[in-house]
Amino acid sequence: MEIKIDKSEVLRYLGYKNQEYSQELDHIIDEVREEIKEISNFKYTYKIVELKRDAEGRAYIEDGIMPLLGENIQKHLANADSCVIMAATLGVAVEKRLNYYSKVDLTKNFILDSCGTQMIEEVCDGIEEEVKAKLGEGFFYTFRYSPGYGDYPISVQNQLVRYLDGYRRIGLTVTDSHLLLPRKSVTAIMGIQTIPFVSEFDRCAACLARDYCKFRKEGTRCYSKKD
Amino acid sequence: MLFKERLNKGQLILFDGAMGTMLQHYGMLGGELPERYNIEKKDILEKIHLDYLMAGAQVLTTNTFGANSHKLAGTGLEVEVVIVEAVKCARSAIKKSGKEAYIALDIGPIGQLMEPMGTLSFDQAYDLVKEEVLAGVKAGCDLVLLETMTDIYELKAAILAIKENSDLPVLSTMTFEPNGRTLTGTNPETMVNILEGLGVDALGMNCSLGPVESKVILKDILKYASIPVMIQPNAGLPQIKDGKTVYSITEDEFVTETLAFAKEGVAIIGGCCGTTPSYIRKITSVLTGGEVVKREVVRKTKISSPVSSVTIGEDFVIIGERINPTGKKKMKEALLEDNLGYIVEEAVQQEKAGAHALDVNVGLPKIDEPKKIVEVIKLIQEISNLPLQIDSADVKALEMGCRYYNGKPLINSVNGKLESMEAVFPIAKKYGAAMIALTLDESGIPNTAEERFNIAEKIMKKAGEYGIPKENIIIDSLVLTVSAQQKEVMETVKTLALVKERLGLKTSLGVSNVSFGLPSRPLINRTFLTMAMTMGLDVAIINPMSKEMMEAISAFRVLANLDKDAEDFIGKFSEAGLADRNSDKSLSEYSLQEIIIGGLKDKSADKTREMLAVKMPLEIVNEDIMPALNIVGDGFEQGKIFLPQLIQSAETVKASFVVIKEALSASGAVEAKKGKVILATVQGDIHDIGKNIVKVLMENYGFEVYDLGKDVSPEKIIEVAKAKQVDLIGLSALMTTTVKSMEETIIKLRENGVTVPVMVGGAVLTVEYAGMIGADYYGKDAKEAVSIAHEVVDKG
Repeated sequence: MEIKIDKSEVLRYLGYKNQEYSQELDHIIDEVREEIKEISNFKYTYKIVELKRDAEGRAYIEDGIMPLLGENIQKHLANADSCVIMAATLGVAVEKRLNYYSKVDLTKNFILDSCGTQMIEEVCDGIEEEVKAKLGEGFFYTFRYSPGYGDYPISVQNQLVRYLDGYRRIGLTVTDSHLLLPRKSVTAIMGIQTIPFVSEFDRCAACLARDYCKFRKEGTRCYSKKD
Repeated sequence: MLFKERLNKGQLILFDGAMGTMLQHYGMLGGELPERYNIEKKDILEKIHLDYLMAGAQVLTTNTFGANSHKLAGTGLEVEVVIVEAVKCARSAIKKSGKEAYIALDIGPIGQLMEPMGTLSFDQAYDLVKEEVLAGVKAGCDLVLLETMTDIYELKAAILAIKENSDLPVLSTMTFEPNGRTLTGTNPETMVNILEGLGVDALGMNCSLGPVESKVILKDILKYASIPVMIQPNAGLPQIKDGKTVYSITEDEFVTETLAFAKEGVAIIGGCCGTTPSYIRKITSVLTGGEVVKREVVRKTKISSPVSSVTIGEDFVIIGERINPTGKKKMKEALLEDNLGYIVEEAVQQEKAGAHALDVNVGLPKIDEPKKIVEVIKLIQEISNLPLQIDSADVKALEMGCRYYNGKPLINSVNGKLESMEAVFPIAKKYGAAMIALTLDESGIPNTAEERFNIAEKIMKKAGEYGIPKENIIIDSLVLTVSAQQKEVMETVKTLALVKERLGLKTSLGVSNVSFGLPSRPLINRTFLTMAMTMGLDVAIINPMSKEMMEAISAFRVLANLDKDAEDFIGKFSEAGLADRNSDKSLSEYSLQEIIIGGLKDKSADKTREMLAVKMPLEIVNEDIMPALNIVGDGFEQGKIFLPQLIQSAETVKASFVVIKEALSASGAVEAKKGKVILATVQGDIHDIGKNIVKVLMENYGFEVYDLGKDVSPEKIIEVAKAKQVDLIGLSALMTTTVKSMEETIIKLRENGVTVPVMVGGAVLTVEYAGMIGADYYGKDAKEAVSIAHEVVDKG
């Protein structure tokens, strides 16, 4: 899996808008991009599972433990025959380093945090590539949909991580308030279908932060440009 | 025969194989709770146990891997019932088989990250395991198996919970990654050192890797462990095929590899994920009745942090002495005022300077030392991977320190007084700590080396009675002040040689006392240290920031053939190495304003110092620092600079202020504080970058900030708000879900009579939203948060 920690994305997370900045800062950003690659023992796990349909055509997973609650996820998977359920984490070393910098070097703390956000996205991209390579031609994919998007409750994190045996496989835990720990972790569901995916789902429309989103105000989005 | 007797018999012990794999085989779904089978499908469970028994397993593992009340929460299952039923199933299978077997209470990880990284506290982990153990005792199991553990700290809590609540033998295995460490970073050497200290009956590895990948790690464990070693490998590496988990190697490969482990000296063998009764049958058919192959293990003196160990007696060991208030005004203030930043800085600087371990002493009148030492230990362990030396004259503080320390600690100190030994040895034994032992007793410090040696010998013998091995004792033959007791200084040095030769114990000294009352103290210190090292000193407790001492050690390491080919020495002292250290030369080229605006934080302290020669501290603040800070703040507001630049500048100012404060306090002037502010990320939220940025900027502007951290309970905020009479409370929450918690916090504050204005901030908040949850102010960014704080204080 190729991890490059795309610098333009990192700068975007850092709030960069073409300001002039020093070479020293540029060095620090590059250093931290290397540092995170070095320390992260990133891990991921996923399952490709068939989607069943109930009498109303609502998708569910047969095991019954991984609920697909809410309208948004149902719309998202409306044409999917199966889905990838994935979890990825950059691991404890990155978490520790973030805590370290939060006490010792705030600049690096913020930069490492942004690099972490970008890196975990790249790991998820890598999982997508892996799945696509495995399944071969003839399939189309939805984008990755995570608990907490729209009306898909964040409490599903607990079930999802348990479903994937996430603690044992990749050391992923969920806090009492349903946040993933280590922080730089992602869980997501991606539909697999035989017809092209047209998103009816406006990510922003379903987002609770829509009205006051700093990215939207600037005409950008919080998610990666290429989606 | 009790399991412990069986373990000591020297005969191989053969465990069963995987439970989860078998349950899946019988239809358990992904994500389904295995423990439910103990209640609802006992017949399947019993059949699995019976199959393993018939395959020759001598120990059955109960189906209780996740039977803790954290994992069972919301399932309707109770810990005690699940465990009692699990043991019953195993017992019933044993009865039916007509064979003899032991029942091991299986305990897996709780599934939460431990503090400080996660939210699970040491005491919570302890309580969760205690509940399991008590149920296991009630159900009558024969031993406890802690397995698939990844966090040595959780394991420590679990072992204490077992040992303090039962007499059951404890077997403890961790799971390792291909990089040779557990998920939280523990290597085999460190695991062995910590677990042996805690007194487990056997230790080893399980799961995660297959037998092939396990070899290297197992070899390490066998090299270090002086107690029985256990292995339960997976049937290779797990792979997911068609939605099902399969394992990468064949049964025969597994058996071949596993049998080889017995030849290496493993005492207990079983199977983990992917293994079945058929695997176990093949193993037992060869190994039943076999003897454990004897191993030679050289016992060494080692102390450990959770991720690494320092061996004492090989290369020279430096213990940093700076975290100790004795004679250090700033450290004293830092401890009394909870200025954690200062303590962190001291730890970081000592580590950078080359310390191998850090001494931690918080002894001050008016301080709750047992409580404080735990706080400081936890704080340092969050940012440093060095082992710690727990230093106190208060036995309770030593005990609490050892208990909550993550790793194998070093106690500083015990001495030859009976009272001291009787108080400290039980602690050292229980927590597996090494100790610095001082050669003084009821009659004081003897004058001669021979007499001091006698005390060392007495301490070693007495420790032996407590079951403390001699490698856990490090003798300190006590440095006296040469200006007062000149003829006794050589006695200290001679004692080192006697202790090493005749007792084979390691030695340590705190060096700097020797020079009190003389001019040119560094010269005396350095020379004395060199004399002591030559006589065999293993550890020096010194200030690693002292260039003279560190250079003497560097030179000694070359001359004593410790620094092979003088590699370290050349790296440090060659022209290139020196140039590297002296590269900061362009100080005068910049003004302080430029340094701040440019965010050149390495330069600001020196520059400020330079300016103090010609300017008053407050003049620098008002004429240089504040204007620069305002330029940066305005630039940020206008979008001319972006956030990392603002942070860099704020940290640059922070470094300047350290120097300014020193100057102010030296001149006796009292620093005028703008106002007092609490900052906290609310309960349930673990994001703290925004809060930390607000903090540094507020401190820049002269506010006194009480940073309560992340995931902070309303009660804690109420407590501090009342105790410190703060002017403003700043709350941060990043998630829509935790804004709810923010609202609840504000309600509780008001209910408890805290009327201080509340400011909120965080990515998902707006002015309207902030108003809705009862906040008085909304700070959209760090700059605005500071403006609000000014406004509030000016109003008040």
